[in-house]
Amino acid sequence: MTAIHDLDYGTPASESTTLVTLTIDGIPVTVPAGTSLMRAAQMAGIAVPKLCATDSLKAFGSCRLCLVQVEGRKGFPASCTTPAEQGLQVVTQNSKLAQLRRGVMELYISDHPLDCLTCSANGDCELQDMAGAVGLREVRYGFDGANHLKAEKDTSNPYFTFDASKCIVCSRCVRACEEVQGTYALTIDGRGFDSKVSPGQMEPFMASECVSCGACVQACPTATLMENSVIEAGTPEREVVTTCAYCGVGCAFTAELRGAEVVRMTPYKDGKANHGHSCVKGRFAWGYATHPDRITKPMIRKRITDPWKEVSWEEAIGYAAAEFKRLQAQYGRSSVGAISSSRCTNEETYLMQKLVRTAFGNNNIDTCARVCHSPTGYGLKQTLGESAGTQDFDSVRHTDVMFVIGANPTDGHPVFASQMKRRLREGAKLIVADPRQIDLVRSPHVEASYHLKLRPGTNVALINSLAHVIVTEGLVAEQFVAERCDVESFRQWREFVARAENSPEALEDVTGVPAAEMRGAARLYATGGNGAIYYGLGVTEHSQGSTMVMGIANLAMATGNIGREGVGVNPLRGQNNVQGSCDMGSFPHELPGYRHVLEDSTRALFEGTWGVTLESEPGLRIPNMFDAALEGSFKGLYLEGEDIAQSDPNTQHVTAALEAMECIVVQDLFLNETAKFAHVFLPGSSFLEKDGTFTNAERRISRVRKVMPPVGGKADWEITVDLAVALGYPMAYSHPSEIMDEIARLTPTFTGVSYDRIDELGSIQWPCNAEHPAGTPVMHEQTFVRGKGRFMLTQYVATEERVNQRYPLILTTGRILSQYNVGAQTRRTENVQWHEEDRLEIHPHDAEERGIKEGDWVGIVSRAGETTLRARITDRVQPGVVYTTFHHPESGANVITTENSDWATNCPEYKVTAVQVMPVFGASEWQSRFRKFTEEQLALLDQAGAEAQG
Amino acid sequence: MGYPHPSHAGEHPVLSKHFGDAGARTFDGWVKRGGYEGLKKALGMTRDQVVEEVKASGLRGRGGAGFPTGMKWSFMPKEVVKPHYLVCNADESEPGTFKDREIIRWTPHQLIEGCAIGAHAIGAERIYIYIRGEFTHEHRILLAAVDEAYKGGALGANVFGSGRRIDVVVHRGAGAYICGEETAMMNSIEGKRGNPRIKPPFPAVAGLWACPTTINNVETLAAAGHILRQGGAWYKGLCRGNPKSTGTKLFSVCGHVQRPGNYEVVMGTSMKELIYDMCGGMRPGRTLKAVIPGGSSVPIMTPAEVEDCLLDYEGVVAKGSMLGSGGMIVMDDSTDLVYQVMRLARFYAHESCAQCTQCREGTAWTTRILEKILAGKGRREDLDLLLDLADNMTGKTICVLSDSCAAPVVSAIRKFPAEFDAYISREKQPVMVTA
Ligand SMILES: Cc1cc2nc3c(=O)[nH]c(=O)nc-3n(C[C@H](O)[C@H](O)[C@H](O)COP(=O)(O)O)c2cc1C
Ligand code: SF4
Ligand code: SF4
Ligand code: SF4
Ligand code: FES
Repeated sequence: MTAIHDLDYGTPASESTTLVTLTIDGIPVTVPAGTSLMRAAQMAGIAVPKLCATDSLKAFGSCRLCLVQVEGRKGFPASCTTPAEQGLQVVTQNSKLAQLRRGVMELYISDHPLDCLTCSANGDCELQDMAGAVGLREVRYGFDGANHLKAEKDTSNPYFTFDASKCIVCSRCVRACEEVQGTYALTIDGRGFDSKVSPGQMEPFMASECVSCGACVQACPTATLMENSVIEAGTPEREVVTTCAYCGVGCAFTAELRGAEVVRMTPYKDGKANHGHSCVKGRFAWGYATHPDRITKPMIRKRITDPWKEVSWEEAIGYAAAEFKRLQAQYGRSSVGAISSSRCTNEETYLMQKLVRTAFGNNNIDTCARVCHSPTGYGLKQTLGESAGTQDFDSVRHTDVMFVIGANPTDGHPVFASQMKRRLREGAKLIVADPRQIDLVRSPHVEASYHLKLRPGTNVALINSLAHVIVTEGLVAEQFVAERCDVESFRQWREFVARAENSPEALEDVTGVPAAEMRGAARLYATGGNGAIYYGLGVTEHSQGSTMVMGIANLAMATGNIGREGVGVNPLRGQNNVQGSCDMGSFPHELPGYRHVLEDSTRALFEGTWGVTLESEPGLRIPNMFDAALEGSFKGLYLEGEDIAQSDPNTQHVTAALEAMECIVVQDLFLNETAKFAHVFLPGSSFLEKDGTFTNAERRISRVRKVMPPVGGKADWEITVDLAVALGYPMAYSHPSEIMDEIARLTPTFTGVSYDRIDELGSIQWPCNAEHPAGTPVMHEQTFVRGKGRFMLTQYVATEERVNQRYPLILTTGRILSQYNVGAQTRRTENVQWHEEDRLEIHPHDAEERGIKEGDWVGIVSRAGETTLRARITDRVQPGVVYTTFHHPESGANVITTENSDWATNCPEYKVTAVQVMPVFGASEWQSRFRKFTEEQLALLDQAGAEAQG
Repeated sequence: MGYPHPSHAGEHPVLSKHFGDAGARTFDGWVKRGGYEGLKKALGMTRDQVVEEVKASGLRGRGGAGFPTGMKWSFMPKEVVKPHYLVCNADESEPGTFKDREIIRWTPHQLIEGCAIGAHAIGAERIYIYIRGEFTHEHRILLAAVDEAYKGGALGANVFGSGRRIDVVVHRGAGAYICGEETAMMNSIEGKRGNPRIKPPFPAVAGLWACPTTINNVETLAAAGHILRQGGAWYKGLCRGNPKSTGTKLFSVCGHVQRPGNYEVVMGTSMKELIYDMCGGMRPGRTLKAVIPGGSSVPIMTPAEVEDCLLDYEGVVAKGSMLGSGGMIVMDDSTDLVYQVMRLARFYAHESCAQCTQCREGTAWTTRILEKILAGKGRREDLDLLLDLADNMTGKTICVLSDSCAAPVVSAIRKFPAEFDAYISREKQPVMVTA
């Protein structure tokens, strides 16, 4: 249940365009055909009593409380399941109906505890509301019949409690799990009076298939399924609408508060990215914001072997500024730089790059998108002309064939995965290209038509052979190509992919996918109706990441699958604001809006507003910064929200670079891995503590609203402003909205964006300007942003990271639902109950060959390093491939990943590392050092607190 | 022919003609007895022509509701855009009903032939026969017959060389009465919980796998072969003056009669004739107390109502009950009606799918209150409460299981008040009723 009641229409809106007029209790009302009588009544202002209906779920018609009468029809139809028709005369209130409804409530209450006053849902319970609404006064059955009052509580889930004694068997939870989430973890067990809600097969929630999305808790009209936070703190009193700070879906939430305390996060019904749904992270894993590990005071130290010293904001910022100035004076203007994060708001990343370009006076700004989606930016810009996904999420409702490449939506983008599953259950077809059997391949009522289990690193070979089939079997959308694309580039591409060397038969030994499957999949994508490609880091994080992105765009253009609803090329962005941080000019070669620093006119525009002369040479990319640091020419780094020591490849190389620098300023919530090498720590603020905007994977700009004061005293944007000022560059903003106004003035795709406009529309998908005043859900509709779509040649080149006798297995990496990237937040919540450690997935065959058993410690050695993990034996991975997640720093997944990277953008090749795996007894050498170093650093942190007190 | 009793002169065996004749069970045996002629004829006709023939016969659904079969078939879309399905309802779980079982046991090809005709008529390529889980023996017989039918060309990619594809899938139930309800059955076949679905959409629009679907009872479909072979007019002629109820009907008679069993009579035969002549009347020294004529889900009839009741759809309604499935439960004067009604309520309480509040809680409370009365703890207000509850359980729920529970209770209280009074006034010894 949600405390702050949105009007609940009982059933979802009808999408019909035909209107019908009917009267309800004498009031005429006009509604789309197919609207339920219940919804029509609510539209006319009449609330029909209901318990099993809620407008996020299809009508179920089970409580029978909403019965009405219709003139000229016999009987008592349920208003939630009866569609409105022209001319109907409906009666929702009379004495007979009142008697029937009281009779139903009487039955409910005869089997329900009478402890309303002490119930956690008191005042927030639909059963209670309905008893009042129907005027229930007595229960003639008495209360000594059989009942469920002794049913046991299930407290296995850390976030919610299932108190079966209060259950009214309305199946809202079951239906939410099916319709909204698509997990099918719940059912009603038994029959008749003995029916009860059953997770799995009468297991506790935690032992069932439940993924703890909370949809059932939200749907439950009673206190049966209730958030523990509400049980403990009480029902909320007010709410603030904001945006989740985890993944790139960008769910809208209402943060519900009691006093200044958050007691519940409820996905916002009107959120256009999530439509009232969320995953376990956004809904439940927000406790990190008040975790005792939060660092709340600025700290400095001269050397990383010194204890930390808590200081005032002025001192910390003054010290950092003085250090940066000293370094620039000593080692040159280019010796310092900054790395911003996709976790930060648009306004923050904008300020970071502005600080670098104005106050540092160079272009040494890069962002974590470097290591995830930089190839997307490059590849899509080259082909389509804009560095962004082409669709909104809702577009998938019109998709007939989904092609998922190198993405694992149920773990990485769970809320969108639920929407995909809904469409798949409606009959859309699915093609998955992934080395591993991701959940979507086969899950309840969903099964992929093709799972192309390719070898890691052979994406481009795969996409070329699919293109080969399309070109040679006459499946090209000739008219689309002729009208919309650059003809010469198409001619060259067609000639290239048609070559025999690109045929599925020629490449099946390379990709490991049978030629017939590649042919079948290509035909399905080209001819199955609206085809939409969704891809993730399995595409970009390769030595040919950019090539693959272009290959995808080629395929979409050749089949005409672009420029309308239901189709498109859709990068699934990992973090909340990957799109935004890229848009905001966080790359060393680009100013906001993807405009190159070499362009004089662009620089002139920014120089005009910023009042400085801008450097025209592109700055250092992240890996170049590390190299330069080791060389001795790069000395100072300002990081906001980014933990490079854990997230970047070849950890030992990264930490060596960090050790070589003289001033590292970390602005973060926690003493993360990088902060252990830092000289200045500036306490950052979580998304609950500041105002700003995030831009999700569908280019949707949504507001982040301050819910509580920053625990460190300053919002992140204020810290950057202070640092810029201390460095001698004045910045005067009184609110982040002014930063957005500046962005809008300087960026053509943002000219129509302002906080007021976002408030008005809820959210805005850029481009938003004079041409598209309400934003742009689908791009490239009439023409491509670059004019004609350009086909790019995509020669397959095998990665240098090859298996050999020494390193016979390929390691690939990914993430899981309950943890978020480096885990700094999620590891500080109960989400650890789902994933306490990273494990190495290995195929039974490879495990047996090495004498590895489930749970054994294994050593993983690559050309870059060595670490140990425990093994999980599973045939989700194919023989020859091992897989792990990278959520726990100790796992050292990036100790083994190499520095190979995308040829165009340097995006690391995280997805392919040749390794050997062997049983071991103890931690790797790196892990022993890591533990020791961590202990030392924590001791130095403790001294900061002690000193401040003493 | 009745089975195991010899055929009675008052019977008119069409469907049951070969009951007891093991030779009719095989494909060849069935063909020898004139089988599959109806199907061959149907395959030479258009869909519409077959539907018209069945309409002309006046055949009505034998599963309980008596809906005109030809009309039901005509609801199926004329153009096959999505696959069409025929579902044969062989779940026969209604207390007191055991006619479909005998059809399958003795004449499985009679059913397969009828199914194939139905499939042809509605443009379906696939038939699901949903057979009650407890019918293990019949299941085996049916599987063997389906196998033979494929081999004999009556099923498969090219049925009897007509170019029509017709496949049969036999699906076993898992012991839930509610799965006999047509939409619950579709859910069950889809692998879902057997909950009846909301209508609309009706099955002919969106049924099994959301595709156009027709559901028919075993007996209904079995009649189709005969209608096609001998003509709709012939079938329509089988009646005793009421043109709305035509053909023959199998009655499963059980309870306190001398010769319980299946009897096939022409519609409109008198109920008394069936009970007294064919079934040999009450056991020695006993008199008739009550009859539930249509399985357990219909109002109870008094001896006076039985007196001049004609066995057809309208005839039984005129006497305050319904023909239902044709399962007749006959009770003599030794019967404790309060107890029997409680047993029925308990059955429905056990079988409720539990979606509807009135049914989930109502069937349970009906049972509990009746148990309380039987235990000698009843009060007069309990009867009012039962009737009020029954009103809320009738015509207010998704399917009619709830109504089915209420009907015997209401009719027993109204028609046999003395039985209840005896317990409430403590005249009668309380009965131990723990489940
Ligand atoms: C609770 C319930 C149980 C039913 N069980 C059966 C059954 O076991 N066999 C059957 O043929 N029809 C049964 N029916 C009726 C079917 O829903 C449906 O009306 C019938 O199969 C239609 O076939 P017909 O038109 O050939 O009679 C049942 C209905 C209800 C409400
Ligand atoms: S929390 Fe989500 S996955 Fe778990 S049972 Fe509820 S709806 Fe299903
Ligand atoms: S747990 Fe809640 S939503 Fe689920 S059936 Fe019970 S009352 Fe309804
Ligand atoms: S009436 Fe009973 S059996 Fe029928 S749908 Fe409702 S609860 Fe289920
Ligand atoms: S609200 Fe319509 S039946 Fe429950």
